[in-house]
Amino acid sequence: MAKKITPELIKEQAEALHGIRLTPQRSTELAQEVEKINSGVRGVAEGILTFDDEPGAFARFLSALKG
Amino acid sequence: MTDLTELSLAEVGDLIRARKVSSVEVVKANLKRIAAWQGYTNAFIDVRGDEALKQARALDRDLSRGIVRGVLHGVPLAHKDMYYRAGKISTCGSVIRKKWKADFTCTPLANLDAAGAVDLGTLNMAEWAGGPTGHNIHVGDCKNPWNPAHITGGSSSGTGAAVAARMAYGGLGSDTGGSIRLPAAACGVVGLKPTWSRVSRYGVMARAWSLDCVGPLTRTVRDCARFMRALAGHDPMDPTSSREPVPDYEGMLGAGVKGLRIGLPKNFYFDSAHPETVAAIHAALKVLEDLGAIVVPITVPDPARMFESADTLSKTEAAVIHRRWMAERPKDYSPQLFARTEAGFHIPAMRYIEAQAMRGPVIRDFVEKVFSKVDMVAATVIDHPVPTRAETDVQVSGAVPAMVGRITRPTRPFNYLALPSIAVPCGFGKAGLPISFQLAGRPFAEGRLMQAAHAYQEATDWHLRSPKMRAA
Repeated sequence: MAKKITPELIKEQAEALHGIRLTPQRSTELAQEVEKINSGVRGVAEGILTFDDEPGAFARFLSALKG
Repeated sequence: MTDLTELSLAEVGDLIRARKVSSVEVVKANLKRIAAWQGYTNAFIDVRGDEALKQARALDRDLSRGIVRGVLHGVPLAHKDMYYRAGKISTCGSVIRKKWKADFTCTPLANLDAAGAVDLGTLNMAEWAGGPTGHNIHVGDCKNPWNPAHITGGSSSGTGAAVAARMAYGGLGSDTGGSIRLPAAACGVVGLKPTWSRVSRYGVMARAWSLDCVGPLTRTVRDCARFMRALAGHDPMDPTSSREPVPDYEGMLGAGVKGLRIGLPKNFYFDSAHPETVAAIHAALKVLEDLGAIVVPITVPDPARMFESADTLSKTEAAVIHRRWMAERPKDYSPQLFARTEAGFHIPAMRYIEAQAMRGPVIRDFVEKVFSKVDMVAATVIDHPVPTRAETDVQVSGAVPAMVGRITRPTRPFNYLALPSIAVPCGFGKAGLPISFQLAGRPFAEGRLMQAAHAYQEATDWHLRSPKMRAA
């Protein structure tokens, strides 16, 4: 099971990947927000995605399912 | 003589084409109305009166020679300030683009120009189309014409306010998570978020490419149908735009709703809705039932499960779009928008791709489970009474996601699903602010949604009510 995203991880990632310095309070807020998003998408994806699903395919579904 | 601004887009367009009134007279009436209501609503960013009159004179000359440019000949419109027009400033509601001029005209405006529309100017909007309330610290908040203490909804705040206040007959909004439907609902006008890809996005400021939809806000559904006829269609400059044929939406309107099956969700949409909102929507569905529709209680695949995926797409794409300026000019962003976009820097690429790759299966699941049983779904748009500007003026960065999530809860899932949805006014709350419902359908079912919404408007008069200025 994955660990929760921590303020420290967000702070380090912001500096290392983007050159952004965050306050401790903002790191905490972002850690909570990103944790919710990350765990939400990961959880749903595990139940849905199959080997052949690809990001660009949704537009094709629109035409195939049109009313 | 009738106040021309009280007529609908279709009515005034018909009168202009029949040469019973000139486009110049109509534009002058609109400019007078704008002068009276601008201070009350702050709907416009730039009023281009002289240019609008010049356009109107040319279009009147055309008509006198028997030339009809298109279905919007001579009709004045105004648009959210993010549609690029060659040589004109598009502020995008921001400081950074306060003086930025495009060197080409976007396809949506080019289509409206070709249909003969007059452009009155640019309209207020949330900074970078990134807020659902209508607050804007750079150009001033847009205020609800029904009561300026209340929000207009956003991000197409100025379009909602201008159309409701009879300053323009219609205008373009854009919808990434509800930004057409929310201001339409808060201001009591019609707003259509078309199927993603139905309208070209070429030359339109992006909020999140894979969710952004261009669409109209108008007073009536007939107006919306006429507007869409001019707006929709494939554009080689936007390879993501659909090649599906564009039907004669206005010609489809008269089909009625007899036998139409409308799904009333048992889950999600009405779970936390305010009783007065629920009552107004149930009353609207009763009207449709009396017209022959069949209302079917239905359980929809849980939209709450789509929320994080939609958030992932919008936040990550917005972070990519704004990365450079957020690093170099952070103080040129409002703290609220900066906070709202910032999470996008920290979402793993894996999650973004998963959210996008899941979209096809999620759309198929929703369409097959829902639209095998019903033709469309009725839902809330703003599920509580329209709040005040003060109530939603969030100053604490950590509180921004919750506020945005609360307001966009009913609208955002249809953006992830890429499905068309139309917001239609269906009453007023105790505080005198509008209440609306939305109808959502299969991909490219805009015409069918408009049929039902038009039938509802033929039987009701909510859309005919006009806001009055309150004493200061």
